[in-house]
Amino acid sequence: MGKYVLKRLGLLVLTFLVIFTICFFLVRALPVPLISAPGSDGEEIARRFREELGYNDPLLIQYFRFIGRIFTATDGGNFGYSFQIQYLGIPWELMVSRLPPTVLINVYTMIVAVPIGLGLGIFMALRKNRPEDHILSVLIMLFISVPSFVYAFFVQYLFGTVWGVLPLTMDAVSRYNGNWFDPGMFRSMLPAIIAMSFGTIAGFARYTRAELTEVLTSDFMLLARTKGLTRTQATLRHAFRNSLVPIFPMILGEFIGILSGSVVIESIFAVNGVGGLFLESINRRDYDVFLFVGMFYVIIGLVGGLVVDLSYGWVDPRIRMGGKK
Amino acid sequence: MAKAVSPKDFKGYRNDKLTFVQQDKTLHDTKFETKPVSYLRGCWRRFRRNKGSIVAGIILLFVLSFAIFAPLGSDRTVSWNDANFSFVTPKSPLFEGTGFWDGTQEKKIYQNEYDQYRFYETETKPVVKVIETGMDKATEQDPDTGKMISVDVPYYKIRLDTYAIGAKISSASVSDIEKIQAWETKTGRKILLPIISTEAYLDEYFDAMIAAGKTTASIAFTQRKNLENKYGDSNIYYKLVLEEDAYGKLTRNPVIDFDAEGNVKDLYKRDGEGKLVYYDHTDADGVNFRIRVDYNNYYEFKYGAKCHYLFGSNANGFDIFVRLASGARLSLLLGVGVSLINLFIGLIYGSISGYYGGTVDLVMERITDILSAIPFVIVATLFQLHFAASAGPVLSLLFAFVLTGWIGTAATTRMQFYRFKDQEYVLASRTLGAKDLRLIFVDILPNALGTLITSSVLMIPGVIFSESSLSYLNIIDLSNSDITSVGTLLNEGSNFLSTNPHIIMFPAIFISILMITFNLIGNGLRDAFNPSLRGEE
Repeated sequence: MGKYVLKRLGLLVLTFLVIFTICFFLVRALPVPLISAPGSDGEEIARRFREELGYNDPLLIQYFRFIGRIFTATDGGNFGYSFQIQYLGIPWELMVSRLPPTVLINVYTMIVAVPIGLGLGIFMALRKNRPEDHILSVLIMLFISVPSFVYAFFVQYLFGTVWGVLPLTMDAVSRYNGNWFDPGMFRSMLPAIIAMSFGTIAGFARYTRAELTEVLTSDFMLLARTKGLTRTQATLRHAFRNSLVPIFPMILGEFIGILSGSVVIESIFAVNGVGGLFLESINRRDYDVFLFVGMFYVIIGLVGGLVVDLSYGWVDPRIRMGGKK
Repeated sequence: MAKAVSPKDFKGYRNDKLTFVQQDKTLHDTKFETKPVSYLRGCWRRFRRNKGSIVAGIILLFVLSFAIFAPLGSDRTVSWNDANFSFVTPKSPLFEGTGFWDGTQEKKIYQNEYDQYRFYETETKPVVKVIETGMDKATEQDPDTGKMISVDVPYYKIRLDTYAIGAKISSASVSDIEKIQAWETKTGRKILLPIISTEAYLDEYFDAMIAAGKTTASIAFTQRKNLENKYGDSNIYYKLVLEEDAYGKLTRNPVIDFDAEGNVKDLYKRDGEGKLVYYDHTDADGVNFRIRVDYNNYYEFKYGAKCHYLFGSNANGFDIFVRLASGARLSLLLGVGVSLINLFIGLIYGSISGYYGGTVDLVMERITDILSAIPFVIVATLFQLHFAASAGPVLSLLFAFVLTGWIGTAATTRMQFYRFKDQEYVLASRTLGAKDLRLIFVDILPNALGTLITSSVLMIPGVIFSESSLSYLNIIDLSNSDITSVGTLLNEGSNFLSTNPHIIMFPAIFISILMITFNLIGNGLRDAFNPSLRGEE
């Protein structure tokens, strides 16, 4: 097990390095946008500063210097500087400051969506092929297909405009003295949470139903009933726990994915989160921030995949990692 | 022991009458009387039985014909617009006057706006119907006591024709004016409206007000600006005055100056003989004339038909119907194109990797590992930044989709190869001297056909979703090209979500329908190709 984990970690680092190298060269090869009007003092200062930081050197030299600076820089510019979003801002700090809204919205969504999704899935599996299962299946099919931004517009229009019960976009945290857990803050996050819940609930319900129906028809369920367990007991103790084997890693994966946030949802509800930062760095051509947030996404994806794979072995002891050699 | 049954036990049967069926005959295998069902035919039969997929297929056909034929049936192009018809609501000539899909809108307005609508000179009146009138509460300063008191303000709930934009100022040459006049005499309807002249009236009005002590010269300057702005709307051809406050001073609110009979006092420009002027010179060269037109009739004169937008128009008067059709075309072309290219690449890649196995497989798998770990949004962005200027945004997007999109197909193909390559029939084929290529494409690959077709169809909605998200976020910038995307339309509409929801409604419904139909068809295909997976999602 330990050896397998080490091997996977090594592969992860290698994969990341290759991706980082490709992206670094592609990003640095882009023409650098001007920060101020050409010919102005600001432009001259920015140009000199870039020259000083070595943005005009050959790419290969820049590459090794960048890697060196990750470990040696003392002024905070370990991962380069932001020029457009915040002049000489540090990408790391920029991103950390944008994490709370992203994480909160996603955690709230998971808290709402996972129990409902699992519940619906169990209900459908138990009522398989009855009218209620058919109706729910069709609904879930529709809910999975409709893109999340359509829900977002729908929620915004219905709750924000027609009924006027919720704000159209998320409030800035400064309105609540920097308290992320203020009830008002939560209220302004609700539209985004509702919009994101639809798809997540439908996804979990469909997955749970599929897994549970498979388990419910297996032989050990027959045995459990034969030895005298009631249907509820057999379902809860045997079927549900077994069907959790693939479902749990899925939940875990979603939780890790939380950190990257949804760019579209954040854009629609004006959430000042990581997704928003990423979009801003693209639109304003702030390449160091773009590279940093992009690499953050890559790491999240890689680590998420690894954790999901490893969690299979933890959830279900029958699954051996790496095989016996 | 059960008693053996002999023919004697059955009443009414005689032993000598019974004969053996196969007496004196040799038994052969009989030919099947049913027709053999090929794999694909069986799939088609199973697919046909799936009602959801058939319905989805029919809807998809509608969408397809919309994308292909809608732009052909209209003279309007994606870049055509008429800024005067901004924010008009959906209208179909078939539904004229029904209150549904006829370009009208319910609106609550107050007296001032109602009066303005009442005195439109044009043929098409804005107020189609007054649904309800009533009183709203408002606060006002009492002229005697100076305290704030509550007063009743009348309101009107009306059905407003969004197409009734009334009069507009335009310019025309002499020959244009002659053509317009010819149209007017032919149809007996009016296009040209009298020119308005406000300068003299405003001078006179403010001089009188300053003289009466109701305002001062310095305040009058901004107040006059206010009135002039109001006259920017060419539907106001009558005298406006400023409302007086509790102390008899002028406020900044323009109201209509009615005469004793409740009519407006017009400000038409008249020539020396007192006749109305219908066109005058604006520029020094004297080629073009300024005209004031009944714009709805003018549009009819210009384009030969009344203006209608099937899906309404956006902020700049672009036709959402035409633009949506163009976006649909882009989405479908991109979806199908990407899915075909990815099928092709993935098939070859997966076949090689799966068939040869060993080191080849290991190396190829590491390459896909790396590619699949790059988030698509980063790939798409980098491709846009590097190639959008040279290759165009759509082609760059296509490249981005192709760069990582085939990995799923390759993995499926590879898995099929691992499943089948060690089976006896492959060994037999190899023993008979089949080469690698034959083994790959004739013996093993057809097994994966069903799965591959299914995953290719299911890839299409994914591509459409990604494309519309990226263009919604403006990462793909289509503003400088002749094409538009559903995502761009959504972006345009999202700014006016609360005021003009129809702009976003049609693209949103469209993309939802597209995603649902493709998913339903994909699921139907999967069930048809692989009946054992039916019911599992």
